[in-house]
Amino acid sequence: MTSGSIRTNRAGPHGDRIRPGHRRTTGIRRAVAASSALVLALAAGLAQAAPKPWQLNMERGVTTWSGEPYFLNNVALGVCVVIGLLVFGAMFIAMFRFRKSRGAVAEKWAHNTTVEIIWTAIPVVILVVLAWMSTGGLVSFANTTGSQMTVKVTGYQWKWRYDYVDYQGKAVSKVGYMSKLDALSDKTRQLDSGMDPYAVKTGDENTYLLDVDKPLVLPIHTKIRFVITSDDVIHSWWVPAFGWKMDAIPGLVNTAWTNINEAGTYRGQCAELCGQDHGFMPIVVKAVSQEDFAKWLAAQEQASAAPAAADGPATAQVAPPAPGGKG
Amino acid sequence: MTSRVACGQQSQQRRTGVRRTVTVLAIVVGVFYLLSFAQILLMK
Amino acid sequence: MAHEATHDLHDDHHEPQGFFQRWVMSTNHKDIGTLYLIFSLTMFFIGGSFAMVIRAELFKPGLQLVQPYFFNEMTTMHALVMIFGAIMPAFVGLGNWMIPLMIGAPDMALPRMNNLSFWILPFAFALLLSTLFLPGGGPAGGWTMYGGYIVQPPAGPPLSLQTGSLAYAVFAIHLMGISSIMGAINIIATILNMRAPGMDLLKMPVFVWSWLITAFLLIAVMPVLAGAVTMLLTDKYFGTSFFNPHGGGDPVLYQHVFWFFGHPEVYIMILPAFGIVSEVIPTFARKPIFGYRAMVYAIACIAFLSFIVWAHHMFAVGLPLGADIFFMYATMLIAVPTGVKVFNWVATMWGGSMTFETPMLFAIAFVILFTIGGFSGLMLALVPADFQYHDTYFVVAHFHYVLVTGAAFAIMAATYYWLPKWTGHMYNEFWGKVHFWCSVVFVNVLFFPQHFLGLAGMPRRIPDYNVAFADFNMMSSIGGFLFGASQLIFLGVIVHCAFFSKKKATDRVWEGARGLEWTLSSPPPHHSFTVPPVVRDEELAHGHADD
Repeated sequence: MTSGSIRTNRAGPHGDRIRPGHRRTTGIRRAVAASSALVLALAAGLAQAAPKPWQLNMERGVTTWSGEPYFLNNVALGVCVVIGLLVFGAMFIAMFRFRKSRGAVAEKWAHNTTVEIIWTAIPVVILVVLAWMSTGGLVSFANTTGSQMTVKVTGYQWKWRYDYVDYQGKAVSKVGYMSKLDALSDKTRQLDSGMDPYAVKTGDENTYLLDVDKPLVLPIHTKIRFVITSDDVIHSWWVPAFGWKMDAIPGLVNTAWTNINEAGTYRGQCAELCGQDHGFMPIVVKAVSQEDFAKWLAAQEQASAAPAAADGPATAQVAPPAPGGKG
Repeated sequence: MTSRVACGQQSQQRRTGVRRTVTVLAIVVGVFYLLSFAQILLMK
Repeated sequence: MAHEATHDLHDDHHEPQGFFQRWVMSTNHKDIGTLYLIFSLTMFFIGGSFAMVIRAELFKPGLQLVQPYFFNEMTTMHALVMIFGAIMPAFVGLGNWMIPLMIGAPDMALPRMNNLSFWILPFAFALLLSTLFLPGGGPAGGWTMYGGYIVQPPAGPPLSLQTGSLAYAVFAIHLMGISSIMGAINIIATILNMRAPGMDLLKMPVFVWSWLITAFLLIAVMPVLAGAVTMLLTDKYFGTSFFNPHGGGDPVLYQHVFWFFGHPEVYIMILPAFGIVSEVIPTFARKPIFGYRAMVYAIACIAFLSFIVWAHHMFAVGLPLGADIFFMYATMLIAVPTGVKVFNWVATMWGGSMTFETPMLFAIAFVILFTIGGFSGLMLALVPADFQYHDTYFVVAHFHYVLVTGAAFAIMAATYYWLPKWTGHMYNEFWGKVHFWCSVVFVNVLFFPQHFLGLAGMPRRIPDYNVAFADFNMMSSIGGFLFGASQLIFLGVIVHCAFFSKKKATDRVWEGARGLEWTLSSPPPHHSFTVPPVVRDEELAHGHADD
């Protein structure tokens, strides 16, 4: 982590460097503690979106758009199952009826224009319907206009940085921080650590490799625009509950949007091979109500304003226990 | 050895055909390689 | 495989050869085909052993066996070895062996080049595999070698990425590409010029057609791959910035160039499989293939479409909306010709008189399981859904269904189908069937749960995972070990057939077999069709032009 501090200076001098022990930061500490408590309280009993054991299908997701992939997935799966049953059914009937051991004699025909036209045309019709349905979802996904908030996501080997750019039309002042794998998961995942992945829990939920030190906090019922990029290699930012992933590519800025319907904690992972610790850079989003978010943001802004006035650069960028990070 | 190797191309007609096909394909491959590598030179 | 029996059948115009001369200096299409097949089988087991390491590490959550970096080396090498070392050389080997026999040619058009294109391969793979022993290890950026990962200048911890393995891998890929191109030129020249009189293009077996089209794909895309990896090389060693964003390059450009090669490449690995299955099913259904022309046109159509769908591997890079839509529609179109092929195979069985020897079992399993892989392919084509599927285990399940139960099963079907022809002896049908049933059960235990893992949100290429993914991963790993072990039966059956089998094969081998290759003795003489055979339409599988 300390090796990343140089990187942090380049990315932005603030936000991620608050630490509770810093002198002259009592006020900040109080603000952070207050917001942590607030988010913690809120998080209790709220939606949790994380993979479940024996999960068979994609999750519906929690955003206004995330139903699109879910719906398409189900429709396409249904279409495939029906076609599969018909085709494989015909095959098994053929294999039963036309066996030599049952005395079947091979017929001579090898051609039938009518059926060939039929089984070329029917798939075309099905595909046109599927294409029409997915085009709608795609067009709505591409429309990032009218957003009320912008968050910049930057991928690093092997952590994420979140910078709040603007909220409700106002620029956010210096709120941004690194978000990396939580310490317990990190210790457990070492080769021959002797530690039990099943023991890494947040509440009664297992969060092995799916928890971070400081989650991304977002308001619900807000169209949030993400600008996604990378500082080193290609990563991919993916929270399944949002219904999409978007590559974080160095030298390019991608955009995507979300509008979360429900407060809760949503977990995801980097989805593009980015080096040895690709499997160890999870994403956690904590969605809170707009009021709580406004309070949290104000606390963060206040906190980041103070150490700017303070003397000397922070020596460690270890963030305080995240607001509700273990909630 | 040589006679055995060439035994795939008994007739003059086949020999000409093979030669023609290979020439065309070699040119095509050459052009594709050239295109691929021209990017390198042009973009540099 | 065993050609002891064929020695005494050699034409009398050449002297007996020593082992070295016979196998290393060979210009005979049958010997070179055998070499290709042995090479491919070897690589199949080497690549398979890498897969065993992967599945062992993924057996349960937590890292127990290997470091993450080594895990990445394993996934990368597994893919490179299986694609370029196992699947492709197997098809080239089958093509070498069978195309001249099927079209009534005495040999490949360019026998010396044939020798060269094989002998490049062992050197290429020695280079590639040697990287595992380099300080710092082998390539670990995935088989796609996305530039942003490899050419990243030293920045902080990942110094292990800065090994010399890239140069080795790139050189090995250049060699494989040259080998493939020479093989492809040879196959095209053979098919276009060396057919026996009367073997019209539209009377050729579907396998020959599929190889003709595949060879054109190879010629078109191998130079593109060469260009792409060369740019990676110059980025790393000569300070260029094609893909390096730190110098103004574009990492996405690499992906476009790579997948312009990569998508035709995946069809290079499946079209000959279509050809094989189109030979095997009619033989054991004792009925000509349904819609011969439609089958040929479908292959050509799929080959054409393969050039305009590459960006469907890149839906998550943030393509413009128009590009997303174009590539989605184009990709979905592929389902039409592919569907035609599947329907035609079923129609071939309908009204037939079927028996279920091992090749037929593998061919039927191919049709069903490849179609399942096609279904997940269709789902992946729908861009909004792909935003979820992309780079998850759903994709891993998809391409293993099309490559293992697709390409590899077709190769196994072909091996059982033609092994008696090659060796002159029957393989052991009982053990062949044991091999089939073990493979078909365990391959599904191995790959089917991976669909669920992907849908639940498990990314690809991770060495460790949350405990929610534990159950299906353990199931998959158990399936993997057993599938791997089942392939030892395959090896056993082949070795037995080649060296120990007492049961002589007849010339026709299979009751329903049609085509010129079955008019020769089993094993065929070392030099066959030195005089072009007289082609009689009723001898051919598709001799009737009105089909």
